Amino acid sequence: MRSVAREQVASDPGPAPARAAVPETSARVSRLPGDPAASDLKVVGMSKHFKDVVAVRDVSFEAQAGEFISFLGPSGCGKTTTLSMIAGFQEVTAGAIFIRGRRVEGLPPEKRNTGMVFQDYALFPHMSVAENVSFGLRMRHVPKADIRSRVAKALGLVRMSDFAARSPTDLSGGQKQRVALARALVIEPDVLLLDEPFGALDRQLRERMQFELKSLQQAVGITTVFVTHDQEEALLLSSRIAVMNQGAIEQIGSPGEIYETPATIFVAQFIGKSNFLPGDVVSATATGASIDTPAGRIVVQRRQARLAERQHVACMVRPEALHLLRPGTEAGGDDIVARGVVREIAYQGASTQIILDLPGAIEFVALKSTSEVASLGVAFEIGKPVDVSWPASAMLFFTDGKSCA
Amino acid sequence: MSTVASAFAPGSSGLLARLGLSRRLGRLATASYIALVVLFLTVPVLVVVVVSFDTANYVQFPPSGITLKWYATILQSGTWRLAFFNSIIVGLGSTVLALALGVPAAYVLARRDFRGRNGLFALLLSPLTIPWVVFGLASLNFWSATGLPRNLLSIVIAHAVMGLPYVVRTCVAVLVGVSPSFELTARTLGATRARAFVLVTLPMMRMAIVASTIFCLLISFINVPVPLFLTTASTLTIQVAIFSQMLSNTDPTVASVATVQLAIILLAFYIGQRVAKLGDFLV
Repeated sequence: MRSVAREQVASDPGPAPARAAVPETSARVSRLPGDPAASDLKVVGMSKHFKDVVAVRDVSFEAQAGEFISFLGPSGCGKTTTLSMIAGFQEVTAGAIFIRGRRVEGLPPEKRNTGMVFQDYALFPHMSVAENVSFGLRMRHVPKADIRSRVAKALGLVRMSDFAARSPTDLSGGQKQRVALARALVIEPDVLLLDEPFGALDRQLRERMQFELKSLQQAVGITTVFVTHDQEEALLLSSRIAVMNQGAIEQIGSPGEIYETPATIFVAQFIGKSNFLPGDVVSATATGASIDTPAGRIVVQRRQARLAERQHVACMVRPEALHLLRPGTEAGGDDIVARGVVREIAYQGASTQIILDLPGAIEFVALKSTSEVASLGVAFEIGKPVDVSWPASAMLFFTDGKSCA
Repeated sequence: MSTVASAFAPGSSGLLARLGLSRRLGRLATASYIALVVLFLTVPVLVVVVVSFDTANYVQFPPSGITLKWYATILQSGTWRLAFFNSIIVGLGSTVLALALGVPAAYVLARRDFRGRNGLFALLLSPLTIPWVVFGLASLNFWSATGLPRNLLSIVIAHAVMGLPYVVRTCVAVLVGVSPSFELTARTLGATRARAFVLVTLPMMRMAIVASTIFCLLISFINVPVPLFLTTASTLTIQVAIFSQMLSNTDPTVASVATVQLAIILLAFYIGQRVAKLGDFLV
């Protein structure tokens, strides 16, 4: 009976008293009923220690209804552990997790009302597609007739209605993923949790499934937490990205913010490619600063970076902001110019990457559209010198690994 | 013959034919080898089966006539009936006990990482390393020392201990191949830990459990040394009965008992193969 009550709660965001029916088993759990105005998912100061190893360090974030939040980071950064703690597979060492205002970190996974899709989809091999999808409803003791209609609806949503009687072992990777999504969504979870769900698919199928997931997620309007190590995937799908490193969130923000104004050098290097010049601040005034770099002196406006004299700074510019100069031409206005030697030319179809060695053993990458490279009318050759320029306004500055903006 | 002829014919076709011939010879050699191995393994068993139908009052080969009287003897004998009954009780009881202990143990070994995990694994597999005679004597000493009655339960427990390693090893092997994501997904869908295990994990271990069951039944059914130490007149098992019969009496009754036992074991293997592709666990 409890499960049925939960079901109604899940399907109808209704009045607060209905939420009071949610079983509260742990003394650690807040006695307050869920607040309908609360965000779908809120994590406060969550940490996880394994003996003396800190896997997750003081993670806090709040997801608004319908948001798609990605946790992005290298393997071992704690993103999967973060997801595991939200799902309830692992206990938190410290901190609190609220799902629709209900404090859940002491509850077992079956009492959290989350939908989970793993990289291997974990479709139960001894059940048909329809039985897989109905599993969660059966666990919740939903009446048989309702189960049938809800399973049919969920399979329709992922365009798998014709496969209801099939065994999961007969399905392709993309079909398995759709069934796994239908199984997670049919229980109308408060939060959808995805653990690298595209990892097992080949590139073309992955791109199709990414768009499919995005439109499905928006159609259903479900708050989603997504774990990936693939930055392109995160940029494409997310409303916000949390970049994780060594157990902590380095930065959380929209894909645009993360890419254009990275908070740390780690984020700048992890999302997209970046070129760095080491520099020393030789003078700093109320209006700006001058920095000496191997590429010459750079003058920065105060609003672009707050710098103090004698600071060491890392000066960053994205590869696509670099201009390749035709020999004998001058760079425009205040642009910074550097001369490098072509080390490698990487043709990528639509774009071409030119890797340069700048004086002082600095590697610079220029990313240009192939047609633009061709229109320069210069045959770039390995070992030949080439001038690159970029506007100072395209640069970002970091001291001690953190942005100076 | 034509192949041999063309083998000596000049030109490339002759060479090809010769290659074909040597391939055929190779296949013949393999087939003969397999036939010999099969003969070597089955002839002793077949002799027992044939002897069980012999009219002579002692074990001889070749047989002198055909009769079913030795089978009738088993049916009429209270001792044999008791021994069969006891063996079935011991076989089923020890199998159920070994599974009840071994499956949860295998689950913990496969899913949890804890201090002493390897030690526990080694301990559960250790009955494999002890000679059955030694184990039988040790069991006898144990029951004598505790002063508990040596009833069928003592044999059930002894056989369960011997079957346990097979259950643990087979189930761990299968479980490590089953990703925890299945159970975890079931949990998020609303199943408690216990229901997730019963509804998702256990069905995925089905093959391992059927295989374990058959191993346990088999070990219980072919074991002489252990029950030899533990049986009393009322807890006689079939193997001990065969053993003592052979010491005192040489008529073919034992052969017919062995044939019945063989039939039961073959049936168990047949069912195992059909239900769980048992062969996968034997290689």
